[in-house]
Amino acid sequence: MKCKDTRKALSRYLDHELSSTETASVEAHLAQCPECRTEHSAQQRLWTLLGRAEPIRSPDLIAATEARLSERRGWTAFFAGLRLRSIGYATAVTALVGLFVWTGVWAGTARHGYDVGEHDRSFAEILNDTPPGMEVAAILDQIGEQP
Amino acid sequence: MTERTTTAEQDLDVIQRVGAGDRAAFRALVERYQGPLYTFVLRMVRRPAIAEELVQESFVRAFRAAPRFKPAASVSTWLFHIAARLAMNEAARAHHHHELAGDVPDVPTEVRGPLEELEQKELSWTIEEALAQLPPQQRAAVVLARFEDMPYREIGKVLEVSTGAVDGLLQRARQTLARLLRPVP
Repeated sequence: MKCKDTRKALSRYLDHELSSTETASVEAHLAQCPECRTEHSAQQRLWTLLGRAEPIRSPDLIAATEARLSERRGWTAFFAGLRLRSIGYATAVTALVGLFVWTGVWAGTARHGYDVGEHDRSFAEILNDTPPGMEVAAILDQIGEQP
Repeated sequence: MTERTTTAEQDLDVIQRVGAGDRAAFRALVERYQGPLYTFVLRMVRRPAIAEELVQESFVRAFRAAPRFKPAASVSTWLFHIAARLAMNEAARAHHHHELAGDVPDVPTEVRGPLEELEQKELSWTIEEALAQLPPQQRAAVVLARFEDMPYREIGKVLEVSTGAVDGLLQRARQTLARLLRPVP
C-alpha cells in the first residue's frame, strides 16, 4: 500500500471501518513508513482530544414532549374531525346559501308582482273597475266634453 | 445474542407499541433516547432552548410516523435521522447567518479543583467551538462517529448519503479540526 492510499484509509482505519485485509495492509505500511505513522498519531490524538469534551447533560424532556404530543394530537383530532364532517358542512352551507338566494329571488319577484297588481287593483277600484281611459271618456261624455 | 441485538429487538417492540398509540411506550422511548438525541442536536444547533424544542419535535414526529416504521433501519438510526433533518436545517440556517456563537453546554460537574475545572471547561469550550466551525453535514458526521460511536453505514442512513460520502465528510472534518485545534496541547 502506498502513502497516498494509506492516508486516505486512515480515517476509516481509526474508526474500525476497514476489512481485516485492508487493516492488515494499513498496519503493514505504518510499520515501515515514519511519515504515515506521524500522520496516524496526529489523527489519533485529534480523536482522543475530541473525546475530552465533557459529556452534555440532557434536561428531562419527557413531560414537555408528552404535553407537546397531546397538544398536537388535540389539533390533529380537531382538523381530522373537520375533514370527516366537511362534506356535511359543505352540503349544509350550500343548501343554506341556496335557500337564501332562492328565497330572495322569489320574494323579490313576488313583491314586485304584488305591487304591480295592487297598484292595478287600486287604480281599477278608484275608477270603479273600469279601464282608466274608458272611465275618463265616460266622465267627459257625461259632462259634454270631448276627450 | 449480543447486547446490541437485544436492544434493537426491545426498541422494535417499543416502536410497534408506540405505533399502536401506546403512550407508556412513547414515554419509554423518550426516556431512553432523549439524552443521545439532545446531545447530538445541541452540538448541531448550540442553543439549549432550540435543542430542547427540536428534540421534542423529533419525538412527536416519531410518534406520528411510528405506524409506518419499517425495520430496514434500527429505531436508533431512524430517530437520529428525524432529529438530524430538523437539526441540520436549523444548523444550516445559523451557519448561513453566521450565528456560530452558542451557549455553554450544561455539563455535569465532577469534584475537581477550581483550576482543573476551569481548564476542563476551557478545553470543552474550545472543542465545541471547533466543531461549530464545521459545515453542518461534516459536524453531524463527526458527532455521530466520535460521540455516538455510530458506524459509517448508519451515519449514511441518518444523513441520507453513501458510506463513501461519510468517509469523505469525516476526512475533510478531521483536516479542519486538526488545523483549528493545533494550539491545544
